[in-house]
Amino acid sequence: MTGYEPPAPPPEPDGPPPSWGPPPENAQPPAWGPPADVPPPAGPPYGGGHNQPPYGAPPGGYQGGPAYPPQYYAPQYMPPRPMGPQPPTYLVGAILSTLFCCLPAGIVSIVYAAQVSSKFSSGDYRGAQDASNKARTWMIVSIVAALVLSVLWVLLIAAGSGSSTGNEYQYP
Amino acid sequence: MIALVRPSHRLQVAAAGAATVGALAVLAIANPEQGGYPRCPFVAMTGWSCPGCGTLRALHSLTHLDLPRAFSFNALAMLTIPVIAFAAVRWARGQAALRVRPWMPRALLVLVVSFAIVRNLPFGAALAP
Repeated sequence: MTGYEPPAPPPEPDGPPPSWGPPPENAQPPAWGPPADVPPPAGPPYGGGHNQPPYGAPPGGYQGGPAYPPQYYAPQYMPPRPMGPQPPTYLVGAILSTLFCCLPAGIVSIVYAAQVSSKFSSGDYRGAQDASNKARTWMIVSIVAALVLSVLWVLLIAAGSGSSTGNEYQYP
Repeated sequence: MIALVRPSHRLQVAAAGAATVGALAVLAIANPEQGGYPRCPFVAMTGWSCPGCGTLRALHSLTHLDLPRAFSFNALAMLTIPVIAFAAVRWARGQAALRVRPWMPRALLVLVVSFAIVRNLPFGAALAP
């Protein structure tokens, strides 16, 4: 679960729509790495300024710099584009673990689900992926805790020390 | 990442459907109002009702088609059932489960927290389980 995940190429922009919630068939959430299909920005090195002759310029000539911004400068000045779809928020799982389970740990999952979309829309893709992972983690924590408690309850009943008496309005 | 063998989508859908039907069948037969189910640990520890308290009784009432009684136990959970069913059907058909807009998790957070507070206050007794 933890550890380094190798960056996968981003999905095709014209592919099927991204699926939120529990991932059906696609095995793993989209990874957020440098897109593999984008070539590195060509042109002069960073901070080179406009006085350097561009690549391919004839030596000695054309000292006035480019008369118009060359096209290969453009990628450096554009805002970072979204790298793939928004990571899953696991919102349905958060609802299920909060309202249909019995532990309020699912609320933590909802908080992280809210962070996924807010961070993604502000351009913090790494943070959005982290929030998505935490939403899933807390959803699993809530469900597993409920399952463990239920199994313990059944074992207590089987051992004969469990009691089903009590306030009837305090059962989940 | 540990490579896990993930069951096929059809198997996941079948397992989720079987678990849902099985749980509802158990709930329909064994009434939670008569006890026998594990107690909500939040109530056991704090004495307050959590947002999910009453869901088992509400689902039992729902299997007996008693909607008013189901809403009296946990109105918020009953309100989310159409959303969950919608997402589940789309997921089972292999479509995008739910297009989550940015306001949705925030609205849900506000709803759940205010629901949890109000149902523990005297004037919110209608929402209490």
